[in-house]
Amino acid sequence: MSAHSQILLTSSEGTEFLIDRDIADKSMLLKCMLEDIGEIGQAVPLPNVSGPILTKVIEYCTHHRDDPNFLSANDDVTADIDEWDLEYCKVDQGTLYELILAANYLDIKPLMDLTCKTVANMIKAKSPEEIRKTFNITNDFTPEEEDQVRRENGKDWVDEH
Amino acid sequence: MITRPFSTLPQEIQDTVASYLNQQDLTVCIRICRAWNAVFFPALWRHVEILLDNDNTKQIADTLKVNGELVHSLRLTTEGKGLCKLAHLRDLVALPKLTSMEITGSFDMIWDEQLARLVGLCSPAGWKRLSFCFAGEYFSCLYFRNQSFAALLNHVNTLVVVRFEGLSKMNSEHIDTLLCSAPLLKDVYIYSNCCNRDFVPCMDAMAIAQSEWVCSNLEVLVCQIRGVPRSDITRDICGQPAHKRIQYGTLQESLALQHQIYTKLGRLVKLRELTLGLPLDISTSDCGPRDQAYYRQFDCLAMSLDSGLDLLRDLGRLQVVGLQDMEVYVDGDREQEWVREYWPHARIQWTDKSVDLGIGELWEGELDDW
Repeated sequence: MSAHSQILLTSSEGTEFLIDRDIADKSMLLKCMLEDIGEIGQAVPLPNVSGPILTKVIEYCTHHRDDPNFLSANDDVTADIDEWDLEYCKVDQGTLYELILAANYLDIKPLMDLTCKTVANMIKAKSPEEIRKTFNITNDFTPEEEDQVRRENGKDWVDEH
Repeated sequence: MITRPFSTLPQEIQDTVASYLNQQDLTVCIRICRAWNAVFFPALWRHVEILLDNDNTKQIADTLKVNGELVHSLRLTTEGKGLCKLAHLRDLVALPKLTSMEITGSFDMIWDEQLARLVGLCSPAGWKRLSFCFAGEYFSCLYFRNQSFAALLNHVNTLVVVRFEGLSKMNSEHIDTLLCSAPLLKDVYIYSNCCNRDFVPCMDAMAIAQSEWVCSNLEVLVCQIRGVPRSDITRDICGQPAHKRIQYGTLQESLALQHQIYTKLGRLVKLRELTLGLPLDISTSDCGPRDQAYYRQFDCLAMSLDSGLDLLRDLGRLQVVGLQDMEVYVDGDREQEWVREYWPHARIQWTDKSVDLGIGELWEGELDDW
């Protein structure tokens, strides 16, 4: 297999994307598939991923192309997100979810971790009202229920440190 | 475009998001709406951190009875008699999904029977991680004897991390049996820096020489190995001739035994840390510099090329080698050169031999500094 070989992908709308093999290998799904069946010379259909999202995923994999720590990049739960990744995740919520789903489907763990971390950061250190606004959620608890949830989550004795 | 609600994303994704949130964030999340409550409530209980004091034991045990089935990992910080009381509760229930428990803080004596009950808290799935880490006061000591060891032996096929940090009573035979029967072990830390040897568990070199360790994935091994006859030590120790302080055999016997131990250790090729000695703590109770000299490990591996250090040449991944307050010769010229070649990433920690004067000066540094 030549180092410069290329792979053709088809998005859900049928748009074709020609990408380098090492970019495709960032996806464990594609990597395993290409290793198993070899390069068949036909386009690989990705019915779960739309063109704009696939463009975005390829952008991520291309940026991190030569990253030696690619697979363990976002393992550290507490580590800050690097600047490029932060900028990359500045998309609307719908796109962010689509990205998560694509990363999950294509099995690109660092992208999955990055996008999930971004969602977590939208939740962190916020009041319930702020969270409802961010995620466009209507509170369907009755005031009594909410009060009960607050009192009886049962973890009052949790060590706060 | 209408964004799909977060609560309709696949559970795997929700779980990943939840894994980045702390307990406080999660307690907010369960209040957002019914759907979020359903998503985040199990996550909130997945990992539980508890501050266990003298008075709240019963309350905690009762709550665990209600939501205990959601708990995967438990971190207990204990004060006073809390842990002791918990272990004593008659209706203490096993938590079906629990695989990881970490206990830190201070507590009274925990006897074998109580410890066996705590070990029995785990799910049938088996412990993956069991960690006790506590202040080294004489009145808080773990008696890890036959009963608790028998309880632990039920989990040898799952155990990955076993840590006992602090004073504990544990047999050499038990530690050895664990290493001989738990194939997945990655991290074994059994140590206290207490001066009083009686409370510092160790493996006995003669007793373990013939055993077959199966833990080939071990990455961290922290435990003393003692009982090595060291006929090479001839100088006085604390004003007494060496033979009065340390077990003597012939030089041949000493070397034969050391070769057996080095050979065992030499098979643990994934080791990142090998610590056979940590600095003795002379700051507490009535210990002083003289105790540091007195309690120093003399009956240990010599860690010199003459004694067989070369058998450890395959441990090239070592990053930390802890040999403090031990009578070792890894600082010899030939040994230094050997270390540079075979353990290129290793940071060696040992104590200068001036300890006999009562001045134990710690030498610590990168190899580049040599």
